[in-house]
Amino acid sequence: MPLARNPLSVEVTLPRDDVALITVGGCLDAGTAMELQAHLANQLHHGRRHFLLDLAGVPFMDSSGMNVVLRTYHEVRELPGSVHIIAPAPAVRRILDLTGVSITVPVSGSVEAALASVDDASAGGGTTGTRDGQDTGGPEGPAPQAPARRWP
Amino acid sequence: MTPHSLRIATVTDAARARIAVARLAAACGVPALERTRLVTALSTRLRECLAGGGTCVVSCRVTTRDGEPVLRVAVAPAHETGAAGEPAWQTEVACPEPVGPEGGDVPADASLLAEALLGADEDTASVLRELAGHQELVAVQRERMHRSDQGVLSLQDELDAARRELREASAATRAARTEAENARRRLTFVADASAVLTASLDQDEIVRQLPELLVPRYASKVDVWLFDQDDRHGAAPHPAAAVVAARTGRPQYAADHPGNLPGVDDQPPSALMPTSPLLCLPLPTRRAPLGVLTLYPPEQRWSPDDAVMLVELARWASTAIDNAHRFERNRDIAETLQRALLTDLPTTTAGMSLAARYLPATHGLNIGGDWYDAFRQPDGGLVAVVGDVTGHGLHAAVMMSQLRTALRAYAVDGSSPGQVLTRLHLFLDDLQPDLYATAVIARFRPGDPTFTWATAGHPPPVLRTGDGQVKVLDAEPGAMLGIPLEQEIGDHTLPLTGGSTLALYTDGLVERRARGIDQGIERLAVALGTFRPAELDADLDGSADRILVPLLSDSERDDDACLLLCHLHGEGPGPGRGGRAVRAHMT
Repeated sequence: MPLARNPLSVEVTLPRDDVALITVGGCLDAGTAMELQAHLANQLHHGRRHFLLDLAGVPFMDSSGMNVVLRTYHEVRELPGSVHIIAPAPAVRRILDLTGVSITVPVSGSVEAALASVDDASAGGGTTGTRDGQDTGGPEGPAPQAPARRWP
Repeated sequence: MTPHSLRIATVTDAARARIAVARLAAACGVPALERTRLVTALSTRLRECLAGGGTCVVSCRVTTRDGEPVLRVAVAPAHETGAAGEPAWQTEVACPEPVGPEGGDVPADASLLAEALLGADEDTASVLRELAGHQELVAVQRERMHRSDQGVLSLQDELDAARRELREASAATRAARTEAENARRRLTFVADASAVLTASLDQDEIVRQLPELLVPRYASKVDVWLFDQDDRHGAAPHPAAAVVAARTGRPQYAADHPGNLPGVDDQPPSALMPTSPLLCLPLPTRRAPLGVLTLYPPEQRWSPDDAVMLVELARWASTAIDNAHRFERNRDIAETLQRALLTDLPTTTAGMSLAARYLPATHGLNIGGDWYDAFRQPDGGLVAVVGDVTGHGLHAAVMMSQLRTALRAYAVDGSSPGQVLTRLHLFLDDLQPDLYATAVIARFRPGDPTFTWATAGHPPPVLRTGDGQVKVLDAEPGAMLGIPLEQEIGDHTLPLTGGSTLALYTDGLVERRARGIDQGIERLAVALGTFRPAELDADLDGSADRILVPLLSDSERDDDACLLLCHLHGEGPGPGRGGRAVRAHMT
């Protein structure tokens, strides 16, 4: 069983009060994604708005892992908050690119770069939750910290 | 020294002789005890002589033996002839101060007789005194001996007691150590066993694990009776205690003696197994027991603590089996639903063949997300779809069916693959914010020498052209359907030549944890390139199988895998003529 074979390690540190750095080790799949989800929900509950997911120790991630990332993104975008993926392994990066998740959720090379990106977004007005387009039928763009790119 | 002889014919003679010998002995310095012994022996001899009615002669003289002076006294019968025969009786005593025989003269005076008598009494008294002294000594010795015996005995007792105490103490130490070891072993056992049991979601595996865990330490043999498997194994008889355990939900112990096990009811010995005690543990769930675990005794009988531990273990096993039941049921439903949705491929037109394979995950939770579909648009175009809904289980299977239906509905007006995917993306983003899917759509139109495809977050299709060239169609893809992103998904078009084969598939076919997805896509391309054109024309289904076997040989099969081959026959310019039935295969 993947459940027993691949225990997930999740370590949470707080670079700042509202920023949770979550360092994940092990495969993110159907058997382990819920554990990460629980950690993220707990941090959200404690008022963290920015989530930095360090995936350097994740050799494999399937759609369950992406579900967790996207679900978290859904939850924080209205706060406003953000989700950043840090240092994914090549195989994981490939899946993030293939599915387009890396368009929505920015990928950084290091914790420092991700923190800088959080700061840039805040300095830019923290507009993630303030856009008014939702109810009026205006175009809904990706969160500002993501590349403002339309696909294709 | 001259012998001194006395003739004894009367009692008076005898008395006189006795006195004479006594005096002589006294004169010779013979000690009182020896003297008394001497005269007493002589008296006895003389009495015998007189009682026989005869006459005898007592002779005594001081002589030497071995150089030491001795007083020799002899008694012999007196012969009328006067000839002295051999003495009939004689005795000697050591004589420290030898004197002449006159020392034993006995005057006839009666007063001296009386005096001699008194002297003899004095000797007797001294002997008696000595005797008394000896007796006293003996008594003292005896007492001392007795006391020392007592001492030895009590010492012996003490030793025994000490030995016993030592034995008991070391037995107690041993018992305590054994008990501690047993307790530790039980704890470790429960921890390990519960981890092993709950790690599995496969009921058969759990049932297989139980004897491996319990034999031989806690049971010599294990029977697992699961009620829902009664049909499977026929009506094998169960011990009465197991039936009671099943009915009451309480642990039962069947034997000819009470088990004294806490929380366990005693039952008479099993009629099936009269000589063997049985421990029957129900497998409880919140609703009703699932079955009964029957244990045959191990070499060492179950202790009360063993029983507590085993009841706990049965609870763990039951939870694990119950979970496996639910999981399998859920999985079965998802798989059934999915198979029901996947079975029909359209009757395709001449020149175009389809072959599909869907392989559900053989273990794990991943069943339910993949789908393939193929259908005709009103204008005659053939649409082939492969998709993958994120998430797993029954929910994913249901979502997959909704998505599949929505996709068909969006395609009904003849929209292009990219348009269909873009609408599907909006549909998911609006209606199912937590649901994501990847998909690839290819469209073939009758008489059209090209085909159009679009992908959304999905692995790229692989095209083999009629000349055997293989190409991975990784032109700019759309992002996954439903992610929070505005997107319009673009179409791509390529020429479609006779003998071309397009492979649509899900990631389960190409993704390996160890190697990432691109190596798998490359392997698929290689596999597709190795076919002879005639093979694909003649037997597309067989070709699909020949692709799956090498690709899945190293798969852990913990994800669904789906493959849809669209093949344009070598001689045909394009789809749209005649009819040909294709089959979808489930493996």
